Amino acid sequence: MSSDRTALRLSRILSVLPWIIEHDGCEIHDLVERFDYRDRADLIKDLHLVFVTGLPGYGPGELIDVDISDDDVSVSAAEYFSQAVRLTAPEALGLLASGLTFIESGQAPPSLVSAVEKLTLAVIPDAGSTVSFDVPTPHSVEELRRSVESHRVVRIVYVSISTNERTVREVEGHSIHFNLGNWYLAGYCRRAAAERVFRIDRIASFIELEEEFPPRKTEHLGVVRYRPAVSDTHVSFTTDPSSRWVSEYYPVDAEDLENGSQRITMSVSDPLVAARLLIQLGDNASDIEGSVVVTAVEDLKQRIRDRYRA
Amino acid sequence: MQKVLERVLNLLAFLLTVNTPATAEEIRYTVKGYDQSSDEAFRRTFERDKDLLRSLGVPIELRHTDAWEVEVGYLIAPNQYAIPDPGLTDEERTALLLAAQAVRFGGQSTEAAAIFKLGGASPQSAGSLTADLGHDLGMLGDLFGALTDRRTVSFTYTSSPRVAEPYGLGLRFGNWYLLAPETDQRSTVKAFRVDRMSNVSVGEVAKAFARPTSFDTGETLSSFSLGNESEATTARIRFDIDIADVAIAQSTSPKERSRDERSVVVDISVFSPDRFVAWMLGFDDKAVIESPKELVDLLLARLGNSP
Repeated sequence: MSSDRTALRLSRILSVLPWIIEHDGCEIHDLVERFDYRDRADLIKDLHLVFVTGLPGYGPGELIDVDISDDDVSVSAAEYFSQAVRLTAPEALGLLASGLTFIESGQAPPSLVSAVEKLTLAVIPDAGSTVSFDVPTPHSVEELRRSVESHRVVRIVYVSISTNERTVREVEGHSIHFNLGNWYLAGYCRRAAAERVFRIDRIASFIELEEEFPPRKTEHLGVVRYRPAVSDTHVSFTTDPSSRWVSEYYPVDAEDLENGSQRITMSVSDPLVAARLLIQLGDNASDIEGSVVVTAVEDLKQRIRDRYRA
Repeated sequence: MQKVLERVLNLLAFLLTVNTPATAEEIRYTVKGYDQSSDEAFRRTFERDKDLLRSLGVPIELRHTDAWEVEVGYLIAPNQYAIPDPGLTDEERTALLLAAQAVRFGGQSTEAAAIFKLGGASPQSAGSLTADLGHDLGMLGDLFGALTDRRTVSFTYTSSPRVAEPYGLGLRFGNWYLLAPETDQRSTVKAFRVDRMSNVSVGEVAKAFARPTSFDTGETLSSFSLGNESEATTARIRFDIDIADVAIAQSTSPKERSRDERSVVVDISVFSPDRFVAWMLGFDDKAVIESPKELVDLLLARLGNSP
């Protein structure tokens, strides 16, 4: 017997009962849908269980009375179950934070705004401003989302994160994703002839084309993760404690050293990506190993210095 | 599972309706389902049942049964059991369900049970927008609970033990922060990064402190990360044309000074010189600081001496 399944089943029963008590004679098909039961039989099984419980004495007057007809159901002698259990702190935060993410990004329908307001009042009556969300959202997120939802091809001008180069691409977008403080558009890129993820603040401009595309089957919606390839270049370096974010932000192998330092090993398809990071880290990164990247670092430094000599 | 569920429902019904705390002994001989033969078997079963109920959010209280404080018993205060009904409409429940399905916390999503408690909602097909707010809900939930109940929080941060009064919880630049003064220095609100806190434990006493009514989590958090507006300096930058629009969109209060077909010159506000230089270096040799000289020197120093 799995205790997780027991907990899930019990928590659903404790939510269904107050609903039936409040909506006397409510319809069975609505209950099945609302509380995500597999089917009618699945729900009836839970109701039959309630039927044999109640208060000490456990006679007809003390047991909960469940009246099931063909289409509807009512419950009596269970006033003590007329309200649902309070939300746990993770449940309350999960719901509020999910709602606020949409609201802060300007992507929320009015019903979500009012739902979050009501829920906040119920959960934290003396709230004031205790929870804050900073979800900086470029205007283009809303427009790109509409293109994704109407399956329209978008032509984007993209400034690559790895090379700072500008390319024009036609993309069949399938999702918009927020992660680690940034918004991403994921979709099939016709130029690359493959699935690609674009950081939306690097899309310099875009237009929606007339062309519609048939929805494709995609494995993972909105997963932003770099997958190392065999041909990658490798580099290792040591970061000081103030630069721990590197191992949190980039997909790297990190080994904890003494005093909060980390030894990072990174795989990149373009040495310039690692070179740029190392230059940004400056003295916070040391003991760099990997000749290709070391050369790229010196190269890039020289190019930047040249701009200041002109 | 059937027997467990029946027994726990009986226990819950009993604890919700007793007016005075019921001792374990009383529960054993009154509530149907506790017919275990040995004391040890009863104790184990009863502990498991209480844990199960508490995991769902049921507040089982332990109180003295009389004024002499000899015995303790259990009860559930009906007004603690439920939160006031937020009075959601079906449309609002559905909107919450959709949002909860789209947003993850370190890969985890909010349990379906949360929506059930609010009255359930018809299943919806997912929208195109998703988000991952990083940190998992376990510790965040504990901190949020402490915040709503106004309990102190003890934890380890930068290798030292701390006790703080949680005022706010916020997400910024993809990281979660707890805003809280430490109890030995109440006048200074600090920002603690949640993913760097460890050994977190929440205090026993609710309403342990008062949060200033004027406290604003969002404002406080942005004053920490941006710095004071009056301390900002203005930098003049030349961006190459192919990255200019993207760079300007990321800048703070940009003012365009001139533009030709090769580059754009912009004045922007700089709050943290170090962070600004790191950001500039992200554009390789496609962005150049024209003034002030101090920022140019800082950037060149970051590049080290030329060979």
